[in-house]
Order: sequence, then C-alpha cells, then structure tokens
Amino acid sequence: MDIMDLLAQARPGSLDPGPETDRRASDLARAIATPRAGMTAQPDPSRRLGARRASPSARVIATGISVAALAGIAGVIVALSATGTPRPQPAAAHAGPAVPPAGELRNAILTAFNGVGGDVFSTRTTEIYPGNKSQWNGVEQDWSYPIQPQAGQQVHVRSVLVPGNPADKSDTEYIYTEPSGAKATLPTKTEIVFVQYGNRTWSDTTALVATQTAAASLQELRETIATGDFTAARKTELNGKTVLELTSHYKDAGKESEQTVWVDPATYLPVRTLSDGAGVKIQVDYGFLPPTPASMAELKATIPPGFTRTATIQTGP
Amino acid sequence: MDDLVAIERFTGLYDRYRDRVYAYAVSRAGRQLADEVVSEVFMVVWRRLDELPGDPLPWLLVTARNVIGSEFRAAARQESLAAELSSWGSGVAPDIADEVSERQTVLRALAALPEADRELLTLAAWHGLSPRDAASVTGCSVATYFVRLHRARRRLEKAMAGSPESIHLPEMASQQERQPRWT
Repeated sequence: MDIMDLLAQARPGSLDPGPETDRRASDLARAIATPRAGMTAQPDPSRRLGARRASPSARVIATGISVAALAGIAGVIVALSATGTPRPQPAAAHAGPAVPPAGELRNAILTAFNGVGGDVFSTRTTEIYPGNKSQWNGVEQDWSYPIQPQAGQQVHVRSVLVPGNPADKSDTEYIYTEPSGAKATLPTKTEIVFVQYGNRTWSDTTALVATQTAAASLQELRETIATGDFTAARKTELNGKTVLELTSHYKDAGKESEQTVWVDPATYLPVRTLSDGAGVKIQVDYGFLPPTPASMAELKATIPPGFTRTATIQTGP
Repeated sequence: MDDLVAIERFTGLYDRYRDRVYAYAVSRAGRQLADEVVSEVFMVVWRRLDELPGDPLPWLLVTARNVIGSEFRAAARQESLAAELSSWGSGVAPDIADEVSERQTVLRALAALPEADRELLTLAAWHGLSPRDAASVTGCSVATYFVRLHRARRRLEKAMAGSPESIHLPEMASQQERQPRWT
C-alpha cells in the first residue's frame, strides 16, 4: 500500500471535534460583535485577561437603529463583590492553609464556573491606555442575568459607561428573549432603555440588536484561565480579604507583560483580573451574585431627575 | 456588505469550514489549543469577510497557521502539540492486531518527523488539500511542494522502518520559515 494511503487511513479521530468542543454560539457571537474591516475600533487589548471582549461600541450590531447611535452602548458584563454566595467546594481544590499548585488552582476555578449559571454576573472594567488623556480611559460596569440563559428565557443586561469624558457617560438596559438554535447569533428584538448624560436624555426603544451574552463573556474568561499558562500561585490580600493569586508572564508586542487573576479561596471564583502589558492596564472586578431583589435591581438603568425622554436614541449632545 | 447579509455569509462559512480548521489546528497545535485557534481564525474571517477568495479553505488554513505562530507562546504550543502527538502514538498494544500495529507505526513515525514534513504530509493525507492548495498554505510553488513532499515521504518511510518506540519531538519549525501569502 502506498505510504500516503497508509497515512490517510491512520488519521486520528482526535482531528474531529467532539460535542464537548462545540463552541459555535460563542465563536460566532464573539466574532460578530467585533467590527469588520473598514470599521473604526479602539486599540485591541485582546488576549489580555478580562479584556477579550470587543470595545463597547463594537459589541453591538444593530439594524433598525444605526451602529453609530449605539456607540457607547455596551454589550455585556461587569462587577460586584463575590461575597455571600455559598458554593459547593470544587473537589480538586483545597481551602486549607496550603496554596494549591497553579495547575490545580486553575482547574478548581474552571470547576467553580459550573455552578454559577443562574447568577447575576457583574463586572467592572477599568482600562488605562498610555497617556492620561487617552479617550479610551474609563470605567465600564455591566450586569447580566442569567449568566447562561436558556432558549425562551428573558435576559436582562445593563451597562454603565463612564469614559474619560464625563459627558460621554451612558447607562443602558437591554431586555430580550434568548433565541434558540441558529437564531442565537442573529440580531434579536431587544427593548433598550438608553440614558445619555451628555444631552440629559433617555429613550425606551425596540431594535434588532446582536449582543454578546454573559455566557459568552464567562466562556471567554474561562478560556483565558484555561489557556493562560499560569505558573505561580500564592496567597495574598486584596481589599483587606485573603485571596489566591495566579500570575503568568508573556511577551506582547515585544514587551514583557503580566497577567494576574485573584480568586476567592472560599468559592474559587475570580474576583479580579489584571493585565499589564504594552503600556495598557486592564483591570476587571467580577461578581457572581444570587438573583435577590437587591442584585436584580442593579439590572435596571437609572434615569436621573430632570432628564428628557426622547422618541429615539439621540446620537450626541 | 449589509450586516445581516454578512452575518449569514459568515455563519455559513463557519458551519462549512469549522471542522476543517479544527482538524488542521489539532494537527499543528494539539487539541488543547485547537478551539482557541478556531475561534481566532473566525475572528479574522469576520473582520476580513470581504477579502475572502472564492475557495476559502487555503486562506483559512494559512490564517490558522499564522494564529498558531503568533497568538500562542512557544512553550504552550510545544506542550499542547507534544500531548497530541503522544496520544497518536499510544493506544492498543502493537501486538494485538497487525492493523493496529501498522497504524501505530505510521503515527509514531509521523510524530517523530520535523514539523514541516508533518505539515506537508498531513495537508495531503488528512486535510484533503490539492497540491496547489497545499502549496498555497505552505507558501511555496507547486513544483517546490512536490519536491518537499517527496522528501517528506522518504523520511516517513525511513522513520517507519526504524519503528521508533517512543516519540522524540523535534523543535518547532520557525513560523517565519515560509511566509504565508495572506493575512
């Protein structure tokens, strides 16, 4: 038999993706939420912890209203404190005084993600680009519920952007029904409450919007931790609380860079990630909260007194 | 291109070619990184949707090749690939069945080859690329591709004759060795 035929017959089955590797929904959503060639995008901090999502303005593709009108409206996620949620302890981890090795700790974090599907997920992202006056410096806070919605379930997402220029502050609430099957990656009819501080207006409109779900963002965090090549783990303090810290070093654009993730030792869920490289620092604080009235209230946009209601989303002051 | 049209086209490309890109990624970087490679490749596809050629497979594999070379640290690639190649060489004991033994011998020999040889051989045998497309992926002319493939086949035959019991991983070939044409 010809050696090429022999080789063809020896093709390993591992080259065929199994059902456990079906990431169609997250792959499509992640890509579609980024700008195509020719569209404007802010510096791409991808492949850094907590920053693998596209820019807020790029995360939403809409029809019926312009993308420009939605610039500044976020797609998803951000942070509270990871407290008060009793979790089953991951079998692979130990909560004792010894710090598990980095690999074991990483596995414990990945296991802990399995128990948060019905939570309110929050993140607070702080991005600091070179130069204090960079237009991208700012803070974004997002809340999303549930983290992993089922088809037909109502999804609530809220995003508050506080950019370097306070006039650009916005508060956006999305409500939509989780689509099913092939429609999961297509724009979905969404109720949008949009509060714009620059012109002191707010609107309540419905449009077709493709948002990145919290599940996709959580999956990205999970993948980042799974592939982050973390080599060192230690116990330390963060905001007065004991946390476990994982770090990895890598080169980004030829510069030494560092990724760090801090984990709650009681739940093994991330409380903060920080990427520091190529002159850009991105810090994300995470929260996984049970759906109580207090945590659900965070999903509602706040309309300050005196703001004027408009029929459509206003594009600027 | 209208957004909805773009989304439909992109979704169609993903559904048609995702498994092909995944298979290539496994053979070049191992299962541990393959999902990530696929995800990154289709990020590029979306960004450059208007630039894709009529037959996008070679373009996709070149993009995967570039992603593997640029997005992952060498140590991570080596670790993932080593695990993959080890899994190819392991399995049923060679003396249980001749067919199994022969398959294990081929895979072990393939795993022991330089990465460039392995890529040439698998592009043809596993990924079903025509010589022209395989040459495109590896960044050489069709004539050069045939010469290299011939040499790789000879090295595979030689490695099979040696029937290595264990896999000795060669150094990863430099990603700058041959510059792909796209991306």
